[in-house]
Amino acid sequence: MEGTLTAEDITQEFNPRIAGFICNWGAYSALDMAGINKQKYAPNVNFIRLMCLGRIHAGLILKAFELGADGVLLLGCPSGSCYYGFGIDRAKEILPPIKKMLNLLGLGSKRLHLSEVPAGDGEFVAREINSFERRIKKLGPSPIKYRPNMIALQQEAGAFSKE
Amino acid sequence: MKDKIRIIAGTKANICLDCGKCTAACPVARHDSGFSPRMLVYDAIHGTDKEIENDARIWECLTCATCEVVCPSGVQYSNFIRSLREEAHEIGVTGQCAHGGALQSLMHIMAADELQQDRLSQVPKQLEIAQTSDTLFFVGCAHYFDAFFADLDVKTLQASQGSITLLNRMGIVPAVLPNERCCGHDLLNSGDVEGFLKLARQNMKEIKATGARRVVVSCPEGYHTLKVEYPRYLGSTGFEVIHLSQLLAEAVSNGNLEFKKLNKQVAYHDPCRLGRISGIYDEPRAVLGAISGVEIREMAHHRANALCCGTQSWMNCGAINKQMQIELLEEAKATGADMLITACPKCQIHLKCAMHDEGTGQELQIQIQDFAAFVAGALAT
Repeated sequence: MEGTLTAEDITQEFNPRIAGFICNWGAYSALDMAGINKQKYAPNVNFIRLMCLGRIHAGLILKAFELGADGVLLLGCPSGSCYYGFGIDRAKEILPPIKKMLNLLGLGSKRLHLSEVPAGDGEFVAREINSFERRIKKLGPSPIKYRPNMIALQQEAGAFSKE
Repeated sequence: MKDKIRIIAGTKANICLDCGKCTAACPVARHDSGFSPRMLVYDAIHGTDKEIENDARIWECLTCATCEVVCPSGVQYSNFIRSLREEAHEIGVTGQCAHGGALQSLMHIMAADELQQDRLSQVPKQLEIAQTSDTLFFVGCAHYFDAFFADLDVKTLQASQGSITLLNRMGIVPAVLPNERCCGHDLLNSGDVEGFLKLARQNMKEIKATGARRVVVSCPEGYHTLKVEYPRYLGSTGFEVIHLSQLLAEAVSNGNLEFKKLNKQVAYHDPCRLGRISGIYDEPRAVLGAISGVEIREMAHHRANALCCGTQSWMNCGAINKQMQIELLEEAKATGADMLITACPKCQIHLKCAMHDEGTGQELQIQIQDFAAFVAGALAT
């Protein structure tokens, strides 16, 4: 928020904010495994757990950018191993128009990435998160300055919190 | 609500005669018995502030101004609804965003100061555009619509490209803004004045930088917003806003445009923002009529009575709105025309969406093209 001093202001280092939409089944189990195995991965991804990546739509992705996300990472299951059968294919289907819009907006489609994570593969998911974070660091901050709490986005997605 | 009396008196809702002509004419009321413009005015006057602010009906109105045409008291119904929405917006109430709110997010993203859009990299080489010019062509959101609605086979960018082709043919090399924002029509129409002002100020700054004295717009919403709403909110703009069809009608009457011979029967749909709200009915018809071999077949509802395409500001799209779109398609089909021509990109999107609906039969499929794209396609080579 404007007027608030962030870690970024103190260190002058760009600390990207990434919204990560994650499938509850395959990809989340992989993230869980990464935690259990004490894999190191970038801490600046705000994960929003969805029942399936098929739940994602242009509105949620653009909302993340509207709220000031520097990148949006989508973590789903590999094609063919979706818990619901069609979810990941549905997510892949809707990406091209959104990427086109991001290019038009000048944000660039590289700020949006979909990764197919094999269930329980902690090493893979940590690698994907890190490489996406490096990519966003290279791209620099999003021109959209408004940066409220990502909780608003979580509410929008109707994602459940783990309490 | 601090300003209810001002809203009611300012839009002449206080002299509503309770005659119900508005409800008889209203396209929403025709399909939704629970919606009545007259009752909404009555409830706004007699109900509490809280009731009217939270009333879902204020978001169902299409602000298509059909009721304003028939109202004997001259109630400014669109303004009345918009002012109520402004009040509702302040307490955080809004309509049901269609498309998961993607287009609302798009508008808010476009309001970001440092955004540098990539709008001009795909401009076809044969189009002549300039950075500074006396005339500016305001493109609108066609790029985004075409990308977002690709699955509906929406071709609104053809309208923008056609407009520039036509301007070039008239000897005008228009300036086109590389970083043009959304005009803000939809935010204003959904009560978000703050969001509208952000967009409007940025557009004004960029338009002024080109030194344009005249702004040509093809999108009816953009035309209305630039011509009426920008001066209303930002004071004198210093440029004249003109709709493409006005410019074309003038060129046609002077014999400056030559067309090839076509053999087409077309139905022309008057978009609300261009027809009822801006009063431009004759110019598009004059231009279409000047193309030899083109016969205009009027739909049962045309000119001031034209049907609305059924949705506004990317809000509240449901079964009732689909029924309105089907009704329009039925009327277009009944004329026996080969093609439905509309000047509004959103009408095109909404009608194409209705045609793609699984429940819509083969008998309602009709070719839909934008006015500017059609006229540009008819130019003699």
